[in-house]
Amino acid sequence: MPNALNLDGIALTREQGRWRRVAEKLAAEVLRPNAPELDRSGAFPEANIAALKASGLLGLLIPKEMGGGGGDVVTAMLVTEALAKGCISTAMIYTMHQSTLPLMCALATEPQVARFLAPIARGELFGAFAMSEPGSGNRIWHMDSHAVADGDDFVIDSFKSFCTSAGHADFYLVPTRGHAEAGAADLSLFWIDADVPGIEPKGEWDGMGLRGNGSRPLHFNKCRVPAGNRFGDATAGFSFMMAYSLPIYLVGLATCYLGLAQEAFDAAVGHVKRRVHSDTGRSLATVETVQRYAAEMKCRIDQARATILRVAQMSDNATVLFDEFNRAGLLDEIIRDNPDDPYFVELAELKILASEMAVQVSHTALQICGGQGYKRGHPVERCYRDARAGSLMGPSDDTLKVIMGNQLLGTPQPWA
Amino acid sequence: MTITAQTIVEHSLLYWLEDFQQRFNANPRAAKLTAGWDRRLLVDATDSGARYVLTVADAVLVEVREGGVAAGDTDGLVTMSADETTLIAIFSGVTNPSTALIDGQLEVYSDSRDKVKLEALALVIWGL
Repeated sequence: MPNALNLDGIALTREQGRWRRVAEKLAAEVLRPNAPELDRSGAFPEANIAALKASGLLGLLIPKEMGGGGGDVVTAMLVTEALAKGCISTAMIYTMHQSTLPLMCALATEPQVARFLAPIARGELFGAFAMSEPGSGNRIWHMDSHAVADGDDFVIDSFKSFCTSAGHADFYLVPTRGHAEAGAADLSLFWIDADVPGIEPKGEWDGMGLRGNGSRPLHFNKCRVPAGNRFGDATAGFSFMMAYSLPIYLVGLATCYLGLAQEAFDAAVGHVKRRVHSDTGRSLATVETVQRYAAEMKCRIDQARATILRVAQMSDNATVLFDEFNRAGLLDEIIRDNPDDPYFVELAELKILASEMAVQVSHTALQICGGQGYKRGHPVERCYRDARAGSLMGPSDDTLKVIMGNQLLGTPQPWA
Repeated sequence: MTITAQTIVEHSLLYWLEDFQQRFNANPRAAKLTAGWDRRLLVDATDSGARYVLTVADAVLVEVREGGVAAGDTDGLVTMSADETTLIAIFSGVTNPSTALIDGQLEVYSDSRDKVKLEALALVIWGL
């Protein structure tokens, strides 16, 4: 029904509204039409990425003074939800790309801005974050691989167990231990161009859901990169990941599942309004059980959206504080001294809440749609499979619950 | 002495401002944070009328003096207004200034960067 009181939503800035409209247009015109075939084939969404490049959205989180869109985490949330409604695989690829940006922006030297960030802002490059390693799995604060200095270069030999966009990205941001003696969380961050010899994607991605996100193992097999490709010093990478990547990553993941749930809800509501039983002459929408299901789905979606927005706003505030510490050269020690700040627990909670919500909502949407929704190719069937990935993606919900439990009960975090 | 909400009121606002001055000047992180941040901090107790000016210059809190500033003398001035109990809680490290700000207990008149600086100082001095 029309919203007569016009009380919906938050007051966006002109920029936020513009970026959301760009994303909604892209989702409607490109992502949604491509989604069924991507899901069938499991192919990487090259056309969607080309459209993202042309849209300007790839540089959204790069500050304007570096040539980017100057967006914040709230704006990224608005954009990601719009994209996820069209195609969650593409939204996930976008989230991984976005997760690389704030920490590179925080650490980049002037030459690095020109060499790496300006092309992203121009829509020429999209990236992937190659984090998890087989030894530690989704415990992404622990890396086994390390960089080896060799003259003016570094040699990176690092096997990453899952990397969204593996073999398709234009660049990879790769955390490894800074050197052989560095601790597991004393990380360096390297930019590795996709054409560097030794980048070896393994196998093909053939997942139950998220079938278009090209997530597969990736071996950086003795890749040689110039010293100028390292962001920041040899061991501060983990702190910058916590301060600048974790927020956009976890808010982004949560928002992908929010968009998915909204898509499942919309598809289910559309179905029950169209479906009319011949014996009663009434649509499914008049069945009380269906009405209750619809209400339950909306409650869960709205609860998640409100929480995501609150944490996104909190993240934007935290970024201002982190910038202050970064400018003073204090960020690494502040983060190391506060390993379980309640802020990080809020972020952890967000991902759990959203991924569980998406499973519940897509489950209910499928229940409403019945046999029609169970058919291969129905949007609800796709959402149901896609939603299940949420709690598994690193850091898994189980790992995040342990992190939350440690903070809530005053026991040490595993990386502290 | 263990600082708690009960014990802080046993001392005056001036006592806690001078305690803050010592903590500030003994903290190398505070010095790093305030490099290039020369400011005067006007602490204005709205209920008692007490006013103090704290002067930060060259990353040192060089002075805590009783009194206000001349009308119109706002260059590099950050004003913190709250009741005296709240100001004592802030400068003794019991209450985070940003929490007091959000709770409506404190008003800060300055640019937004100065507010962030105060929050960062609270974190490095008291771990708040």
